[in-house]
Amino acid sequence: MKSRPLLTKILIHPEAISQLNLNDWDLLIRQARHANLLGRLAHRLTACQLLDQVPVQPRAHLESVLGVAQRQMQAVQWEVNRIVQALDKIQTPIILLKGAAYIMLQLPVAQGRLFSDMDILVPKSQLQAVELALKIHGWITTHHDAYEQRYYRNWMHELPPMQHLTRQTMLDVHHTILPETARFHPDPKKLLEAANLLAGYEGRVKVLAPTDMVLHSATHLFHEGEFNHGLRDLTDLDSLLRHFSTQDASFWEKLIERAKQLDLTRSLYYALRYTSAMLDTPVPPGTTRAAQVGAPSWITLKLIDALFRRAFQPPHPSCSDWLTRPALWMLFVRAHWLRMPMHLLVPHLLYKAVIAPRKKQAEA
Amino acid sequence: MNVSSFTARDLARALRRDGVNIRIGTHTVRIQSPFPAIANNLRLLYANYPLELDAAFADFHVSVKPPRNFRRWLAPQAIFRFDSYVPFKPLPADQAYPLLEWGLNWCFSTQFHRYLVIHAAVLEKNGRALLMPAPPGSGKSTLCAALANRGWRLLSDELTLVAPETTEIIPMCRPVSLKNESIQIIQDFEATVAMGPSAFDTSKGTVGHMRAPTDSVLRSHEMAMPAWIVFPKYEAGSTAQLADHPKASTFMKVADNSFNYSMLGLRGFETVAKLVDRCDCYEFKYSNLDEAITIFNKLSEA
Amino acid sequence: MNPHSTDEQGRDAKRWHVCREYSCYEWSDGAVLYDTASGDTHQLTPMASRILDFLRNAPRSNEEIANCVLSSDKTAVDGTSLTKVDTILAHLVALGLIEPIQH
Repeated sequence: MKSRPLLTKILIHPEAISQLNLNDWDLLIRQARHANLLGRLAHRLTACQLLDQVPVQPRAHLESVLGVAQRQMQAVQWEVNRIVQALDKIQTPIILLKGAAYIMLQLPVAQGRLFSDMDILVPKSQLQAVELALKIHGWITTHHDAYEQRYYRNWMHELPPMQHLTRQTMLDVHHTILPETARFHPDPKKLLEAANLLAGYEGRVKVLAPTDMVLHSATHLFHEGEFNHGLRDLTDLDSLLRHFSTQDASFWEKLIERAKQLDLTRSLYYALRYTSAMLDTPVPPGTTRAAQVGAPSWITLKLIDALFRRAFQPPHPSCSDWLTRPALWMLFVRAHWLRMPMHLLVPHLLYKAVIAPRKKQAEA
Repeated sequence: MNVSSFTARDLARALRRDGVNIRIGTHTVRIQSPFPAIANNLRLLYANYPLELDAAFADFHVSVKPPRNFRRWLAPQAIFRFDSYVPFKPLPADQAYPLLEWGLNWCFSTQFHRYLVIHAAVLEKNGRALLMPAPPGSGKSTLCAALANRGWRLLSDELTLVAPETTEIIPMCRPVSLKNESIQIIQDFEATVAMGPSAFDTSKGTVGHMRAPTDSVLRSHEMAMPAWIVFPKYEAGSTAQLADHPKASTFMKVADNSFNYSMLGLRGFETVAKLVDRCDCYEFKYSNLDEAITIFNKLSEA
Repeated sequence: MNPHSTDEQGRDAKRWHVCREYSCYEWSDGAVLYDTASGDTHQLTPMASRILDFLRNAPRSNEEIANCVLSSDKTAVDGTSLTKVDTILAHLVALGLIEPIQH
């Protein structure tokens, strides 16, 4: 695990493709595909005007995914349009989260990225009205199982995922960014207050402030239980940090302050630690020092390092070792431990492991 | 170096270990499998295809292997993998070879959007390509196999790849998949065909694969421009008949029969529109293969 | 004879305009259209295609639309043909391609 995987090396230094032979390209494409980063890779190479240097056979795969990513952008823009229309009568603005926000703001992180779900944030008081309005406009709720419904509504921070009947698109409606049952959960009112208006939507649509966007992404990543998109999510963070820090000289300072206000210093500590270590994100030394306030004990850190360094490898056989699977399993349990108190956690894990798969088999 | 250059033993051993790279038109597929049926069928059906043991780049790395659990021995199964993805449920081990072919179809139709991929057979004569989009049961594969044995170059029996910029058809020439009665019909139609062993009780019935004619394989790097779109329908007892098919309707049928039409967005729309614009579009009823071939030959001479 | 009855006066006051960008290919049996915003593809009859084309340049009223497309078809402007035009307009609205502008 000491040397960087080929995919990470090329994402950081795309010009290094001049040294690759066809064998390397074979591995690179495979790692990128498994990490869900083929689009990001294709876009990096295009942006650096290097796509023409790619040999014909691997280039076809990069061109393939560029076309798909572009089509997805169009689909997300349309979906936002439809959601805004459906929620026209709702009193408060809708906040776009994650991919939808990145695309509508045309951030570099959106380029070449493939998104599956839309995420929006609304105040808890509006949740019922929002759900009703969406249903009227053709969205249906999924996860009809009573247990799953309770899981989402009572224990998590969102409605059960909704799906549009004709467009088949998925929509997650959140009322806070972390479950209320979680050990750390920032006050959603603070996020809503700091949110910025999205141009062109007459006050109906907002996006999180840049610091909050980073913290949201970091919090999710470091509370995540499944890491097939771990490296992808880390590159998202890297892209957001690089972009916002070039737009605002005081961004790093604001980020630290905001993490303290929202009680998310642990997630920020990890975010800065792993983006700089694995993706060479240019975090200023002063910021690294200030972020220490969120550091865990050194024993915890040693363990967490061993787990996350494996989780952030491309999920491809060429990048795993015999400890990868146990590490991923431990992170899975950790994520649930963070989201749910113990008296809920054990029954939940049991349900997921034993009852849910049986139900699925019965339905199949 | 072709697949046939290798002894059965060497081929089987290479497949069991690091795999073999077979060149299919302008694409390379690396295949790994310990199943003897796969080695035998590749030797028969891909005899004339270029094979490299150490190709540097493969478009798709696939494998068909037994599971690691008890199903390796008890009611043995086969699992298809695309690198480490497992897109399908396991199948009985005696369906290992059709599983490989279905897996390759899946790779080209869902993992590769450089081209528009239409669910259609495509053949070429006198430099012009005939596309036959058709849902299962229309007799497309039987007709395709027959035409391929009567002077039409086979570009693909199942997946038509269309380059968006030019509407050029990119060959993807692989063994023709035939089902149930069609297997015998083609063997009766052309005694010299090489047919792999049939797999029984698959989800599609009995399935067999016909080796692509050598000429089609040797010329599988040659593109072709599309000239005709024909929707075939086998109707017992009918006389072979071509009827004009209106273009706007043809467009919608072609788009419906394309795996990745919506993923290509505007480019997909433009590609199908240009394709339909260029081509003479027909629907075709037939019951007799020789009659059908006569009609298509007349078309190619016009 | 005035083909419009009084209860359709409200409809006459409506003018229609194209409110979506699209790409279109036309043949003798009709057209296919790609909606650039939604990514949807639609097939249109020849008359629907003509109506849409007519509305591209400027907003038009029901009467103007009917007169233009029916005359090029050499169809009489009567109750049946006007209903046909109305149906097509309703269809184009449902597809999100046109919308009314009230005077």
